[in-house]
Amino acid sequence: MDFLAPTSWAEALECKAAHPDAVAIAGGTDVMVELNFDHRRPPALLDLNRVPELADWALDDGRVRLGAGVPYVRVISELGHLLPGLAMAARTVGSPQIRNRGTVGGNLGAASPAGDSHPALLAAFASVEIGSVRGTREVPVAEFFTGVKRSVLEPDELISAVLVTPPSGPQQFSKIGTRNAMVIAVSAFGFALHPDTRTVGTGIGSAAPTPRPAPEAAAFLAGELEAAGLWSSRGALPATLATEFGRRVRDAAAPIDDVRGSAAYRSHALSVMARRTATWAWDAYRDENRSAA
Amino acid sequence: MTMRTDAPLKTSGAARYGLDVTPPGTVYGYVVTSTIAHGEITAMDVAAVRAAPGVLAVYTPFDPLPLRTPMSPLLGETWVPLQDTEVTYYGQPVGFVVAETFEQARDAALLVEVTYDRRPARTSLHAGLADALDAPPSLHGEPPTLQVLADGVESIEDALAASAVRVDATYETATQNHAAMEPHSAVAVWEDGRLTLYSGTQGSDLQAAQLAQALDVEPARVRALNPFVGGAFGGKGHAGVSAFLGAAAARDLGRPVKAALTREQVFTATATRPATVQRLRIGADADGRLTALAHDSWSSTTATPSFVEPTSHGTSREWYTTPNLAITQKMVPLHVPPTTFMRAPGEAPGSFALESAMDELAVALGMDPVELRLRNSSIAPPGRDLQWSSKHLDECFTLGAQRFGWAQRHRRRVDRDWLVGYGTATAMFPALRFPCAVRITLRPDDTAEVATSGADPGTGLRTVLSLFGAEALAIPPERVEAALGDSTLPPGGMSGGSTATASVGSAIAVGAPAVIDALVAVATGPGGLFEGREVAYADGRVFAEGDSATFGEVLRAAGRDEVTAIGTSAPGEEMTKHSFSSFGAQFCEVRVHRWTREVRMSRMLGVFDAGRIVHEQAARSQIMGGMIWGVSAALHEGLEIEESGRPANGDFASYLIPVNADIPTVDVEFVRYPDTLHNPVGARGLGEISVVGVAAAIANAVYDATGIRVRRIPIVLEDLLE
Repeated sequence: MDFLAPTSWAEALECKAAHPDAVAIAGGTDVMVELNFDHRRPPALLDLNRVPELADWALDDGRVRLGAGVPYVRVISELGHLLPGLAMAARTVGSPQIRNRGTVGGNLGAASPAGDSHPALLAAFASVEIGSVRGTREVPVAEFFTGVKRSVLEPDELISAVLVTPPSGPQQFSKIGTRNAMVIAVSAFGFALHPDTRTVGTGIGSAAPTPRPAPEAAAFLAGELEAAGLWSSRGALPATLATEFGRRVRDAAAPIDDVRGSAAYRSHALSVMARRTATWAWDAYRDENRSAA
Repeated sequence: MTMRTDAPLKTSGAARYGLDVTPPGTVYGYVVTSTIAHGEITAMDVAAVRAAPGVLAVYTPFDPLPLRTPMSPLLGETWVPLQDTEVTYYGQPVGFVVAETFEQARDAALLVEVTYDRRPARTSLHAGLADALDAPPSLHGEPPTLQVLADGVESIEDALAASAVRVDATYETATQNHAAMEPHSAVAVWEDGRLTLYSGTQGSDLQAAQLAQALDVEPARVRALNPFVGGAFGGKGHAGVSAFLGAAAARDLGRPVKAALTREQVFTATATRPATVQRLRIGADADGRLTALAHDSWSSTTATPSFVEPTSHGTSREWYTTPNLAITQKMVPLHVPPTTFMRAPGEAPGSFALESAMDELAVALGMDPVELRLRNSSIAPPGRDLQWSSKHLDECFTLGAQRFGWAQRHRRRVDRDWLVGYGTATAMFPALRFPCAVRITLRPDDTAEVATSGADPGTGLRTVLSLFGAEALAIPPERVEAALGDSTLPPGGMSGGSTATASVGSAIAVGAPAVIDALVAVATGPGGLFEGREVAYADGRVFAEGDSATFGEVLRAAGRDEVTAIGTSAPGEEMTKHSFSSFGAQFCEVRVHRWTREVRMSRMLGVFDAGRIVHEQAARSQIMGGMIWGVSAALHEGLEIEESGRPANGDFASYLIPVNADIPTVDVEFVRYPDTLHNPVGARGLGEISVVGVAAAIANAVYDATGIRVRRIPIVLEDLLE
């Protein structure tokens, strides 16, 4: 197995173009497991840890540009205010050691339906910045995943960054696991209120072949909030509305039975998580108003 | 309190475990495992393996390392790999590749092409219940089916039918792996026809004996060293495939061989705790006094039956007073990984069933579960004359109930999103000893050595040896060095059956007077410091009238390098006078999420009557570890074997054990009544008892919180969906 260790983004892209079957590795928290289990034996590993362009984040043209190599620990400590949902999700990843190594870019690259970042990114309407020697393109996270552990990445492409607009409203993330840490989600849900556009963001994890939003449920909730004038009045979120939203999120999922949980449980849990995260976020939105006044 | 002598070494990384030894010229072995659960290997194509970089040798059933099946009085037969082409479980060792590096060996091993003649595999315990077989007699020689009936009672069914209140329920427990942090491994070095083996084990002399038999060499030519062991829990009693194959390959190649199982291989290539199904039928009168108890157990075992989890004999046989008792133990041979002892074999899964059923009985009676247990406490096992030597279980329950706030349980408690429940259970584990020899040596520098072959797999035995030595010689523990984990030392101190403290303590109690006698003989003998005088020994000194000297001075004056004696002990006539057990009361508080149904243990307390507590810190650590393991059994842990025989979760990402975040307060208390009827030092076992009852206490707490009775562990989210 060859080990390619480019030291610049340009060199990384050249490597990937020359070795399209090389597997990119950043923190290695997914890739190394697959290698150790002999689930895959790629002819080459492309180590992105020496690529400085991936190692930082910045505000860029009104958006957060989160380098693909920034580890979860920095998302937690530095981006709680700009990417609150993602920071919440990052806190639930693995252990301190894994959060020191693992990256959001790597999470996307692995494209697992259980990836913890994905529901938060979906809810925040984030985009993935993808590069190759052919150029750069931007793909909304909702269009990034194409199947179990598959994405739109072409063989010569690498993820360079995640692009997220700072939140105009509260965000929430909820995850259910079989223990309190070091756990793959049984199911997870990300929620974001976008008062600037009067829209709602949603992200479902571990309950479909890919992470996916629940656009119908989101449009329903945003529409009902609009119809009731709640975006402006910031009145309480009716319990029946939250419950119906939860039901519609549940219906957007396509869970299966596996060793971590049953489809029936996942459906139940999603409806609960959607109802509750929406309520928590809405209550925070109302509190914002109160503290502003 | 003296610090654990191994603590600084372990916490600083200075402790050298078996696998940390790398003699010059070491090569590396990697075990190849089967990918079917039942059949015959018809061919193994190893051409690509031999051609792979760094490969030195490939061993298969067609080109084996000769190994004989060892037999020991304590462990019975130990399986040795590669001696035939039969496959009886998925993940069975079927080959061994040795290369210059571990990576080369592993890489090459994955190139083996194995051809099988497959046969149908039996992997479901449930499917096998109908044609289960009687288990062999218990360790105490009792038959698998056993009844004690009151005069005039014709059958247990009659006794149950005549009972005012009855419970009849069936419980299930999962297959578990010991999952010790240190995977099974070995480093084998041959020099001049002598083998030195560095390998974690529960008793270095046992391991040396097994290796000598397997390799057909004189026992004196095998030395097993295991100064530190990274966890064993019953899973390192039998010598493992790494030791057998590593030692045999090292002899064949004339190079030191290091072999370690990967974590995934540990799940199949070692052994597991069997899965069980248990039916409990209990009858009681209206006051909650048991009138009949029937416990029928089924255990999975290997295709050729071996270890069976003795759940009925380990619990209902002895725990409660009942005029009518009927127990059965059956086994279901399956094509699953080998079965063996795991912490509290029998008692741990057996107590889940019995103590859940007792809780169900308390509910049926409308009685406090603590009161129900106090009311049925036994003074002797049913149908036996020998009373418990020293039993303070009632005090464990009353003290525990007070300390835990048990009286609060009547309030229906909801704490924000969480339903809160309390549960309790009895814990018992027999007090045992094994034959043991300990050598005590006095040295001219005024230090002493206490030495036995054994092992300290994290129990604190090394520290206990020092403490007992210091006590018996009346000198400070700092001056007593413990030697342990070397098969050339006197045989003893096997860490199994929660016996080691009582066994070594008894041997030291015999050996210390003997070594003092020897010292006195030196002092008063020809050329001795106090030649011809009357002397006495106290506090490390020899006193003659008007004069005294340290034992070191006595030895130096006589020009002696040392004076030594070996003390031996074994179970004896005390066994004809009493029954012996440790006892405990477990209390748990759990929280069940009202909406998403996660269960979390939020508080637990165990109060134990384990005789004299020799080293507080080591004792508490043992108990805490076992109680946490009980949480694991209740809420996390189970090896899921697919229909094909493949474990679905043979790794630490999916074979769940609790993480720190799952374990808040674990409170441990002891009632301290030295049991000198059992042994001269008064200490009884307290390793295994700690896990007993915990799973039931948690399931009982879940019932208290939710009204949902879960009769299968581990409890999963789906069990609590309403």
